[in-house]
Amino acid sequence: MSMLPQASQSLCLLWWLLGISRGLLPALFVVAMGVLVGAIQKGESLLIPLSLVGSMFVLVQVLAPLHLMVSQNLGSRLAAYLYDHLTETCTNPPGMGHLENPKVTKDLAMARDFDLGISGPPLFVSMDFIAAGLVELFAGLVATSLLFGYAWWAPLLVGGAWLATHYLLRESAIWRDRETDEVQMAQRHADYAYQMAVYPPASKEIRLFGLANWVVSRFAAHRRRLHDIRWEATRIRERPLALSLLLVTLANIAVFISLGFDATQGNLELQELVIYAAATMTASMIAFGGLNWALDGAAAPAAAVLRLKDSMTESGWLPAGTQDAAQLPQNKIEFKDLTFAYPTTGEVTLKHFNLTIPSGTTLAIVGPNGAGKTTLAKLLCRLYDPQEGSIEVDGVDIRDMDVDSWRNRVTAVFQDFIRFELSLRENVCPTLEASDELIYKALDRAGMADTVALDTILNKAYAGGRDFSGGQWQRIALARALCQVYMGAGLVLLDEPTAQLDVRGEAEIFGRVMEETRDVTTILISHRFSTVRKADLICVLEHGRVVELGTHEELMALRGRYQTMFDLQASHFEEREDLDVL
Amino acid sequence: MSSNEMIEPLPGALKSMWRALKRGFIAEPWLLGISFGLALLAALPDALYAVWLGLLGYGLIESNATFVWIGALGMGASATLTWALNVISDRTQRRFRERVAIALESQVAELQASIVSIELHERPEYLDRLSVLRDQVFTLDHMYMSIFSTAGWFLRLGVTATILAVIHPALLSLVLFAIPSMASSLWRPGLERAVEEKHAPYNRLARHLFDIATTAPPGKEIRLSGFTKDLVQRRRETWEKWYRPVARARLGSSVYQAIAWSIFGVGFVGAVVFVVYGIEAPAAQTLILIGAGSRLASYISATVGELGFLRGIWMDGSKRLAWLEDYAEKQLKLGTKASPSVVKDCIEFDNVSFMYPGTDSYALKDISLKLPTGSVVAIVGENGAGKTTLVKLLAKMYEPTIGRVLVDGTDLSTIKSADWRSRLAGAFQDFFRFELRAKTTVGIGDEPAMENGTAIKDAVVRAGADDVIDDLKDGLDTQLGPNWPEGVEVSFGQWQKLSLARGFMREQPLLLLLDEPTAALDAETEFALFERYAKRIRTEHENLDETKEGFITVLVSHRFSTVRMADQIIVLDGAKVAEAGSHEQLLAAGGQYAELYETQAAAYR
Repeated sequence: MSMLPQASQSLCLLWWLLGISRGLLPALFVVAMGVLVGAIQKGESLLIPLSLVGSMFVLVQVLAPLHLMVSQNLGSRLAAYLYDHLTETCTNPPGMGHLENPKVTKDLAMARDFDLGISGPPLFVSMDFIAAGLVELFAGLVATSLLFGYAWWAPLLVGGAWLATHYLLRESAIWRDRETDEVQMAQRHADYAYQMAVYPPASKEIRLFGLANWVVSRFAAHRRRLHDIRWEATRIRERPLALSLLLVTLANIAVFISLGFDATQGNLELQELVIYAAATMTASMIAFGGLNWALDGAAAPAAAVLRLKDSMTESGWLPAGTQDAAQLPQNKIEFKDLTFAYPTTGEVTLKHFNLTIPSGTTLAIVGPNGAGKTTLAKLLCRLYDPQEGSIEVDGVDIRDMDVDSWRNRVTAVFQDFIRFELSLRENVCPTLEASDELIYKALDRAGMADTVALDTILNKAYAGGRDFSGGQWQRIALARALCQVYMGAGLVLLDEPTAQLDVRGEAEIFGRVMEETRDVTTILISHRFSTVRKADLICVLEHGRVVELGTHEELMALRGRYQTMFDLQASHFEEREDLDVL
Repeated sequence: MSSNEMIEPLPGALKSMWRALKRGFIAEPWLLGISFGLALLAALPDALYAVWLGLLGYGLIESNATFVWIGALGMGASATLTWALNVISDRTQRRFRERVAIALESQVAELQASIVSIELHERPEYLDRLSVLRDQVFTLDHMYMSIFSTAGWFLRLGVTATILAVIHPALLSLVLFAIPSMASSLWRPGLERAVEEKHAPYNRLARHLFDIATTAPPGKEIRLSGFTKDLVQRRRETWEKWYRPVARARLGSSVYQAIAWSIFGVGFVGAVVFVVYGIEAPAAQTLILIGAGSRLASYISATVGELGFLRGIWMDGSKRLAWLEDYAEKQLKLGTKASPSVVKDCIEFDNVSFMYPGTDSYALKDISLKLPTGSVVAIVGENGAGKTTLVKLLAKMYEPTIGRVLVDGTDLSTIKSADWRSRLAGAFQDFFRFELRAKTTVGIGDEPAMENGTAIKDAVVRAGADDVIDDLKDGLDTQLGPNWPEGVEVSFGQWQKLSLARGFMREQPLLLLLDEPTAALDAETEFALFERYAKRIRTEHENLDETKEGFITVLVSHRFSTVRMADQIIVLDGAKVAEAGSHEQLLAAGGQYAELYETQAAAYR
């Protein structure tokens, strides 16, 4: 509730105003009705009572649709506010820990889907439920207070009885155990199975392997489990319900018998009887009902979103340095006795790792999968900090540098690069800082000149959009890195940049990219020895350590790991009888 | 959205709702009956409010104690019973709805997952239509509640109208004043939906930006490029482009509604004036009128509101579901023949051209090819030449636009898709990372053998993924994906090996489709893998007798080291076959293949 003004002040104010007015109206209408009937009975002038009844009546009708609209828009705005909040919480921490630490991502995964209607209706719907519930409760209270005119005990008795239902049935209103691991896991398994079934990424394999039934029964099993837990937790228990019913029946009987007694004794005038009887009936709006469920359903996800902030800020935190990184590296980049393990797994990826990279050179890193190549790249980007040792650039520990200032110096093409569903221009330069000229140049050098206009959206799902193949996307990712180089980046990380390129792409484009990055320090991670051999310096990595280091010629002469791997790949291109088995 | 014209319209409303009701009945017949009965029962006590009010007034004016007592106690009973019945009925409906929701969601998931073609997943018009259904399946179960409530409201309306008619039949004309609000309730929600759907791409983009901001893989790059600073604002601006027109449409609806309701208000005041001055009714009758009239207004408002929900959201959902069912059924009818278990002669592309639905250029043009049984066929070509499309046609994920794919002379489009697929195996470049236990991630490649540890281990070894499994702390039982408890992240290359192992699960497929399955693997692994694969194929071919032969491997690659091992190499260029033949033949021909091969080989000299 306290978030509403932050979502939109004016809508929030309007929402409350309309709610309060709508809460007052039923009681006022009851009074106007009593006055009118009284006037008819006494034969008095009907003009004022009639116009009162009429205007109350019209107001009741007119305010409802307006309130609905305000609720929907406020609900949408509240969702937007929470989305903003979550986006900010995720993007603010400079490190990556908060996005990869399972303890945090478990909550994040839940929070991310807060408005998709999985655990309850989306906010734009539930805000109206909440509004209706609040209006009812308030209207009931106002109507009850009319009874003070009759007898002091009557509103206390009736109001108290109806309010007691909230207390007696509280167990059924709120699902207290919704945060338990069992519930969360059932929910996540169900969601994941559903996603596998209906979202495009898995669609090809689901079909190829005929997995539809498997994935659906997996979904249904988890979903049913979730439902049963919830049902059991919020079941209406017989005894509290019976007790509630007894209470409200007794209270109502007491008041109506008293009213009936006074009416038959002539102690009440017609208009009084009408007002008090109608007010007593209206008092039932106080009772336990819709509000309890709607509030709980809407509040829980909002709370989950807000809760994340602290844990995410903590695990994504990196110590902030102050030194300016402009123009670095001038001289060299050094890994000094560096040891790193991912905080989540604890598995040591790099062990007492030492390596010096002279600036302006191209260093290639080769080695088997899982040797720690990508981790090196992540550390250089300062997405994580090592547990021991340091990375120094021209003698300055990168932890002492301003994070943004250092990252400005670095650009990278990762294996799992982003495919922005944005225009080609924004895919090459997401921040839109580069001129179209530079963007054209980058695209041209990456072999993507003259494909589509810069404004074309790179996804078929948008009007006028186009889809690109894996290789084309890879060129765009390369163009993005090149653009950063033109904008002044001094260190380029290329993690398998040609994995999805075709033959011509590999041979030509890559040569051109290397040419464009000649003046900056380039680190290339690759399995392709045809590209690796062109590097100034080659480093063979195994189990988190450097096993060989040197130029292509030096390493070939060494007759070690590098030479074995190179010959293996090269051998595919020699005419050898024993290979032609097929 | 002009492109919407190209896809079939949604089925009719009433028919769709009737089908949805039937589905609910089949899923939970008892709960449906009880819920419906309770909803009607709960409607009654409140509708009698005006009667009690009238009795009270009449009794007091005429000094009739019996009427006063009946009125007073009736009111007390109405208040308590209305509440009690509503709470119970609400709970029963809840139970019913949640049960039905599971049935419906399962059905939507199943329909989508089992529909043969992947056109559904690749075409924007369908994506738009589906995304609404997919994310709002939950609304479908509300439909039942909505229908029950509507029935309850109609019952109340009937009772109230009867009471009014008893005072004076002319009062029934009050209902006429409700026509404008009913009309606007039925018209506006559809309009709101249309506005929402028209601006849906903005909402989708906002979600995409949100995903980029809140998931790990893009997290690296946006931190590096400085895009993080803009993201909150970008997402918000994009969302606003969706929100503003939608909010305007909602505002419009509320204004129409308010005007329509004030018309009813005027009618009501007129009725009171008519009763008081026109027929000079006594106070008690005026009381009944006001009591009934105010109830009438809230009943009508609730009824049209419910109808609006029905029309705007719930009915829309049922139409989409009905459409999806029809779509799935139509596709099932396409193929009826059983799939052969082996290829005796060849799979033939007979002058095949293919255009992705909704586009206007050919992805494949005039393809005529023969893939002989027992052979390994490699497809090479530059990016966008149509290699993956060819694979999709073979997997029957699309039907050719022109021409036929023939399996030993039988048109593939007449073969039952599920049957055909059960004879395939394969691995794709854009494989899915199934975040399950390692054995399941591999095992789902052959569902019947999912629990068969030996089969899984064999597949893992064949795909050279044994080192991946050895690295996992609990071996095959390890949960993959760091977002799961105890889950571990494996590298991209390791995921790819697991995907390949999944592709090798089926022991004797008729067709093995490998679409760049080793792009992320290192030199040694790739080499070892294909050498082993080659050896296996060779032994199998030696052991097979005539009748059992019939297994084709299709390999898409741009690595000539792999390609050259194939019996036949097909070079695609600009949606057409540029050349075809064995490695030696193509080298000798000195065409495009020879040129490309030389380029790559030169890099190793």
